[in-house]
Amino acid sequence: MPRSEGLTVKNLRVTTAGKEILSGVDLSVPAGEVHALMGPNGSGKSTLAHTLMGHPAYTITSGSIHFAGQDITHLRADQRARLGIFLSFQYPVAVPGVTVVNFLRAAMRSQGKELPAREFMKALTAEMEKLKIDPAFRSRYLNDGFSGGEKKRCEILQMAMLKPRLAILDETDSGLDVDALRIVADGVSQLRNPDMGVLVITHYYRILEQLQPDYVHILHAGKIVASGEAELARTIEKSGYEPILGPEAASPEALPV
Amino acid sequence: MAEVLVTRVSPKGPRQPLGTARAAAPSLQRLLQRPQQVAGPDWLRQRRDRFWERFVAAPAPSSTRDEDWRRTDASRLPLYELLEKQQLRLASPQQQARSEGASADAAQAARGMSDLVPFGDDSLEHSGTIVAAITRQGVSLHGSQQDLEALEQSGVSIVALGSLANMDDTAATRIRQLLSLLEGDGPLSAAWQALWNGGALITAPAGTHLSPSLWIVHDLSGALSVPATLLWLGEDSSLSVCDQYRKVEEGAQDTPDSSESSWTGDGGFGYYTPEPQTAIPTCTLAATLAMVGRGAQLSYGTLQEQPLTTWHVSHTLIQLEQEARLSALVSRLGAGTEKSWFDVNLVGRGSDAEISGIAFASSSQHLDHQSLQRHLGEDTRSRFTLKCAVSDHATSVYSGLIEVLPSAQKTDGYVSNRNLLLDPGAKADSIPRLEIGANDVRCGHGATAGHIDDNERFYMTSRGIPSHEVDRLIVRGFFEDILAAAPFPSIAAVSARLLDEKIARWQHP
Repeated sequence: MPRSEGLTVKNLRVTTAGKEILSGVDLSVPAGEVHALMGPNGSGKSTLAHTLMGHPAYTITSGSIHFAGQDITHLRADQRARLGIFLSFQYPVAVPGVTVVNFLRAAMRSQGKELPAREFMKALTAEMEKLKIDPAFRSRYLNDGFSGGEKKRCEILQMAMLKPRLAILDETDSGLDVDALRIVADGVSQLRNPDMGVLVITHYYRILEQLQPDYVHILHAGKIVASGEAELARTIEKSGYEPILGPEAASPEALPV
Repeated sequence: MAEVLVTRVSPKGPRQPLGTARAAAPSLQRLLQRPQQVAGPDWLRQRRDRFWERFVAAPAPSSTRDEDWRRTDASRLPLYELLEKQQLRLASPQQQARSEGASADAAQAARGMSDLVPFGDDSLEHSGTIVAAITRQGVSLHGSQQDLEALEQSGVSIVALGSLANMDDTAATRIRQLLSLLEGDGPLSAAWQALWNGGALITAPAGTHLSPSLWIVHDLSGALSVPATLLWLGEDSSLSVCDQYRKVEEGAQDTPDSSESSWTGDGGFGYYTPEPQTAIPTCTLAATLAMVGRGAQLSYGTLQEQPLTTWHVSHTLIQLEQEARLSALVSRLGAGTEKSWFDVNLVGRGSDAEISGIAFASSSQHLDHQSLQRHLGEDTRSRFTLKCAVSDHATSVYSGLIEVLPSAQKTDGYVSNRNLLLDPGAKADSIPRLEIGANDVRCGHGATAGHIDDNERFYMTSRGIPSHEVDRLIVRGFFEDILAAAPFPSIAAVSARLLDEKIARWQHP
């Protein structure tokens, strides 16, 4: 796959509530590759995730985002989703009164991926089985009263059903116990294919061990300050960010606990 | 004097100071024209005369004087204008037949009426529902063979209220008892008592159970519609009933027809039409009165889906005897202006009322709901929950009162109102209140108003769903728990369908 088929971010500057959070991010995630994005708390990881998805609260002041050969810098979230971008939320939002099934059907319909009712239920049941989600969740209200782990698994379920071309996982591994983490990581691994790029935002080495990223990027103070192969993540796991960012970045709260 | 009256009822005229309208009241007698009367037994005629006099003598509702009308402009109520300016006459059978789009033949008319109840993909045959259509010949029932047999075997009776001349004494006694529930001194209850016609008395004798639900489709095609639903449930009986208020078709009001001039009106169909026909506002004055006997269970629904050109004024009053239970769903989607009262009297020890409502006010609709949970008996329980979505420049008003009398120790009552505001111009007023006269009770109230959360909207749009569709899903979801807990399946299905239709029509900016 040519690189133009994936995600290309150039010199992206983003402000929210009048404050600049991203100060010139350059990043490419070609189709078929898994990239990890790491960085201390407050470095702008979630801002980048939300900006890539088109959250209206984040203003792009300069730079551009291209995806699948198209300039998407000014597209709305729903338009980006229809191009195949998917964000697995760090904090999935509860939608009372809208069942998982109805929500998924509405989402698939809007993306032109509608299945006949029977096929849809079959596919949904199969994916729920893989992710070890109780079938009763089909008729539960979306994320309403779900535990943290249930929410994260439901995000991966949506991803499995929507089959995106770029999946952004924003700390999908946070708050998961070992078993849940393995289920989620397996779920993502099974979806990997040559047409899909994956951007994994994480604090932890453990999920990267399972997902085997092609590249690791370190975000600090709104910029990508280091990029390398999977080895870079192991270094951070062992020694923290200090060797890469210098002592000022290694304050106790900047380190994952 | 005439000028005073005209000023008072004109929509934008200056308001009279308190007391002036009362002094001017006698002039009303000369100006309000009493519509053509339904024939009926003497006791009923005298009763109607009495209430007509009371209505004419009472000052009209006033938004400055009457607490109930503080948030709804009473001066715009078209009732007085209709009675002043129009010579109203009862709808003739020909008119009704035409508005049903069927011949006057009862069976066909019933089929026409049953088409009005949207059962979605389920036909009426499989819905466990019997539609009661009120025609000149009486009540015409439409439903599956099995359901109609169940009705016949149950002992439940349905009597048309259009023609009361040959009514038996038991029915007359029950009608009188039920009518006496709504004898408040307000002008509108007096007007209803004087003018109601059409509708049905449904009686479930002691110990009877009817599994299919009964739908009363009120055809409100007239300029002034005054329908009645009277429900009498004997001890340990159970019944599911739904009132559906709708106009058959926009513009279905007919042109005068020479064949109608011979119609003398020995029965009524729930509405009056003006003679001659002119362009006028339309008004419905509806009441449902129910007595639920000891240990009996009423499952009740009321669906209001009137056109925006109509004022819908309604009063539901349900009285519960010992251990009686009420489970009700209220759906308010239509009408330009609605003013509704829903009262439940928990008279008997251990009685229980669970009432839930949905309302969606869009464009310039003004929906004003008032509820009363009146606890008279010991150990009684009541819940009233109303959810309102309000968009555009619409307004929702809700005032709910739990009244606990000194006799009602161990009352457990709750009233709640949740509002979802969809546009900056949308408005929701919420006034839940408690009046506690006993010292060992548990009562509470809650009211909230909120907007669609930006994060919720972003989450859903991020899956590809356009934002207007997201808002529709959220509004639908807002009401979902109420529909999921509907008292019987057909009302859940029909209210969901009507709500979906309204949401689909909703033009979000």
